[in-house]
Amino acid sequence: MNKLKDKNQRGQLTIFIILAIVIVGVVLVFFAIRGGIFQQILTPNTEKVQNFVQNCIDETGTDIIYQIGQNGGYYFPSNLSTSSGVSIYYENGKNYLPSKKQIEEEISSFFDYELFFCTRNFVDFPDMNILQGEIKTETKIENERVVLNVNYPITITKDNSGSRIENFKAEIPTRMGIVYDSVSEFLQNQTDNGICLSCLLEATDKNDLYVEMMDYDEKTVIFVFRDKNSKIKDEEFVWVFANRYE
Amino acid sequence: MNKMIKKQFWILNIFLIVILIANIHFVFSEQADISSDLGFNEGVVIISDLDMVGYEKTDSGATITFKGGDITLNKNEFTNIKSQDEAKLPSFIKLNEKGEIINAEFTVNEIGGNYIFGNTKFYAPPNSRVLFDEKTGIQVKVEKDAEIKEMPTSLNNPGLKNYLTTIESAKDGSFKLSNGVKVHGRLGFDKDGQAFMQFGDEGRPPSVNGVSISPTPISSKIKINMFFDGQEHDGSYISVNDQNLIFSLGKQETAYDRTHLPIQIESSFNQNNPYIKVDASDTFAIGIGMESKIEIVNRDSQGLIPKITTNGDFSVYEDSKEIRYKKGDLYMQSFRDDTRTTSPVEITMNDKNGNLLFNGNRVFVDNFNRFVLSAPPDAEEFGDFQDLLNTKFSSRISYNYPTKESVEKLLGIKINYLSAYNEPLPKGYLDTTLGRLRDYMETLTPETRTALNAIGEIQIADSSYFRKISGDDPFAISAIGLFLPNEDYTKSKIIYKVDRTSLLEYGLFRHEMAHLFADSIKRKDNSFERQWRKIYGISGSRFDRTLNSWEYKDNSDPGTPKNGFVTPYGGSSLHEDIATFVENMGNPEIFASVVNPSSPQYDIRYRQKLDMLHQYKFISDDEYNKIFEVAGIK
Repeated sequence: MNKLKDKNQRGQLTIFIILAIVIVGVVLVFFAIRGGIFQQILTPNTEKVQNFVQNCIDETGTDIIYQIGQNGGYYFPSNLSTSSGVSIYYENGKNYLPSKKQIEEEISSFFDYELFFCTRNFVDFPDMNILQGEIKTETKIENERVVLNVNYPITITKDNSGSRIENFKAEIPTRMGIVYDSVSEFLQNQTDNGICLSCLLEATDKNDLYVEMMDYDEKTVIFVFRDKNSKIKDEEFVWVFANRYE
Repeated sequence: MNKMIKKQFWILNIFLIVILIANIHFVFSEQADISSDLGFNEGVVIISDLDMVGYEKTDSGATITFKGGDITLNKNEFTNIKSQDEAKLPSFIKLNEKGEIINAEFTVNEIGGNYIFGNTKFYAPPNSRVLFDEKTGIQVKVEKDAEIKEMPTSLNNPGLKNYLTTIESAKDGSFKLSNGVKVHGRLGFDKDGQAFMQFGDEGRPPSVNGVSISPTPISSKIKINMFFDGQEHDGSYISVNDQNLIFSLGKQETAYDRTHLPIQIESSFNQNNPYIKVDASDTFAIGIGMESKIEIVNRDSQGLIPKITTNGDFSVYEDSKEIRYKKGDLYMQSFRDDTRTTSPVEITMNDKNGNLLFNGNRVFVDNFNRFVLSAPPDAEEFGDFQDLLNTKFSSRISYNYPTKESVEKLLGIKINYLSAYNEPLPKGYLDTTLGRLRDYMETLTPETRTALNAIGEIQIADSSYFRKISGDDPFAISAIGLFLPNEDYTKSKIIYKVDRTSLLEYGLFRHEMAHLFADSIKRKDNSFERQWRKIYGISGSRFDRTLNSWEYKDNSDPGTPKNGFVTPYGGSSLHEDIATFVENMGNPEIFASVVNPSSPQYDIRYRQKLDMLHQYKFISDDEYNKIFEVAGIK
């Protein structure tokens, strides 16, 4: 009876050990794949395509970040804009600054759209059979940079050999997060009593930003937040918006 | 002979007798002590002439009336006083039973003089009116532009123990103090000799050196000590000389206020003030609250703009703008009237304890409705600016200074620079061009703006670029603009040359815009050009050739419109004809003689062309109407 009991116990232990090994193995494989431990050894053709896509990602990302700054967080001017296309952040006492998350989504959305026009369906690689999947980008606005994690599944086939590349990443070195936070801080102190210059000074001084204001019409003032520490497309990074005061 | 000698003897005797009588009369009339007649001790009242001074004993003392003579009261002379008849106003002095002056009214003659009431000595300038009452004190009403040579003083230094003394200006003018300070209103001297002014009375506000001062709320009144040395003092005061002006308000109890609200002082600077340059029809004003101080220093002698130093709450109004510091925050509020200029000033801000605010950042306002906030290192560059356009600066905050991005966003177009050597345009040229683009763009019709926005770009090129594309020496032509149409309209281009020989001019700006707009119209329909040709009675491709063959191409008298063209260049093609009309919208006088039917130069084609330009929205209603208004046609 005791021997039978011992056998059963040993069997159960073995099953547990095997299960544990399997679970640990699965976890290790998952993290390994995610962490890129098993990097695919790229063929010259794959590498060529990958470099091409990476260049497009860098170029498109730069264009979009530039445009997002020019349009105050929007790729195209928002519905609430001046007729010259400057997004309005303050009107009738209300703050219309888009959230950082909204801007990240705006960047992702237009990046996915514009990247396609850069890769141009890979017409530059007529000797390869390239299949592309849906582009999905996640954007993260950080203080000193904007990070784009791009999921762009591409399958490359040539001469009966194939390979697949999928994950790309771009870092645009602009201080968009700092600029955004400064704009946000300034807007929190807006009233119809006028433009709070000291708030503006405080918001820009600590982050080494510069601000240009320009009368647009009788009620509207255009603000250009300028970061001389960030260059994008060979220009200083700017963030442009307008406030409308009663 | 004897008869002759006798006659001469008698004439001489008569002459001597006349002189003698005159002398005797003079001796007797020069001084007359009438004290005893009035019941006073001897020597209290001495008059110069019994006929020129009237006197009367009353129940309470005596009344002396001026009829052109002088009197001496208790050894104090009252001379240079007009008679009652001449002044057409009462002219008397009333004495009490002790022979002391209790009441007086008289008008000083064209010489003016010093007078003494009690132990208060004061100067009354020519033609001033002196009023005295022992209860209310001395009041001197002076003529416009009168000069106060001496301030009231006490015979028993220090202080004016007896009477409050007030010098009051004419309603329509001011008086000048010995140090040159001009005062409009009433300048008082209290019994301690301290000068003061009261603000908040009805009527025109008092002013000092062209700076009108009034309290707010409007219903409040405030009495403030005045100093005329331009130096700092204690408490609430205004201190002024020809270089400095200081306003200081202490705590609430130093003022009296019917409303019990905190009193502020507001001061408005007129054109004649010596501190701030204020153009005609412009406004410059400052305000301070309680426990605040503001100092304005004229720095013309150093070649610097006026400096304003503030302690505590303040506001500076510059026509359409107000810069205001209150409760720890600095605000800018716009009231919009951008047609006016602003007065250049530098503002350094401190808290009420004199500690520098905003890390030493200062506000610099220039002539053109613009300002910057700049920290000290940058600010040094502003020292002598009147116009910042040609000054390199890097201010943390700037307002209405054109930058590429701000003008692009304002106008909704891109502005790109072209240089054969990729050299940046000098900042001065660039800023001027951007500023002019901003200003000129406002004069375009909305339809032209729409046409411009569709191409989305204006190019500014330096000489090297033009040399590269044309091979010519661009300096030979001072102003160059090009409209380069493209089959794809959105790729059409406008290029203006900007360099040391030429900045963007309004005529050139409108000229190229007219080309652009004409091109945009032509793409939609041809009727405009067809109608334009009809004005000449010609059509088709013959048009330009016909123009080129016209006598007008001799270029004689190029400054005068002729043959239906505005300039000889306008005769070179249909498009240049249109553009040269539009380029002259800033110069409506050029059309005056050719659109007026009563003029010998009248040519109906000008009117027809202008009507078309107006109809097709090349030119605005205002521009169109202005041409005929200038020509004297309703």
